Amino acid sequence: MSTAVRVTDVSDPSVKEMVLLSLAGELDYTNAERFRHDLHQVIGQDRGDLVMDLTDLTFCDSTGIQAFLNTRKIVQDRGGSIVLASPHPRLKRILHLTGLAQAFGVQPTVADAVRALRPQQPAPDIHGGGPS
Amino acid sequence: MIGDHGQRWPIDEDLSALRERLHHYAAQAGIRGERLNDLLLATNEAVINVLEHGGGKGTVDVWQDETHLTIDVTDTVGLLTTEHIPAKRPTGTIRGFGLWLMTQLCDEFTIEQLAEGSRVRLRMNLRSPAARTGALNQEDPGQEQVRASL
Repeated sequence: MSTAVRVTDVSDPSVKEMVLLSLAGELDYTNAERFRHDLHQVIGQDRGDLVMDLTDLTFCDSTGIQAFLNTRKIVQDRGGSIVLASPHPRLKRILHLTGLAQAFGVQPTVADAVRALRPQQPAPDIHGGGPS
Repeated sequence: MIGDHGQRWPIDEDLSALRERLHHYAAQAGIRGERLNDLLLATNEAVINVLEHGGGKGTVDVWQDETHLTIDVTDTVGLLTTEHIPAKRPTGTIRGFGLWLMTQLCDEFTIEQLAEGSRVRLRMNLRSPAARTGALNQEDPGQEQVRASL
């Protein structure tokens, strides 16, 4: 079984009703269920938007994409939006081939993702893309 | 089937180790960049099929000749046939994406039913211009929107 994907809450308190998560590792069939569980633990019952920093997610297969789609549904059912930030080229490729790039708001950096969701918000003090 | 340079790996749940072995093998065969990533993803999807629908056991055979790197992923139940391959990109459901991806990611993708089970064969041309530059002539799968119900 592949090592569990690390899910870290790196939310900026100055940005209200937005959870920012950093993902690291390789997401595949063998750890996607664990990932889904960990992710739901972190986002809990919070309403609001979700940004996932994918800089350090170096692999994702079709079951990983399924986990993202499930999370997207949960966030949207609560009235929020989900944006994927800084996807690795491998992840960009699978999102493109499956046609799901349009289903997610994909932004090149975390700062771009926050701006896309909060156009009025002053730029937060977070780094777009570097490992955290 | 396996030549001097071929290897056989049993399928198990350690997909990460499988990708690492395949990465090493394909890189020494001269596959680079996006084509290497595509091959890793396609093989991963074929192995997932075995774990999920193909009895959970099987083998990955990999070898190279002068023109191709070939990967055979063989299961033990033999239910997978060419009829399972989506004719076009699935919409509205995630199911079928694995097989669809395999059609897009490799230079050749075939399914054969053998005595021991169904065999997915994935091949990368080692002599194509794309193989030399590491760039793949990407086929745009279209721009139709994925339904919001996903």
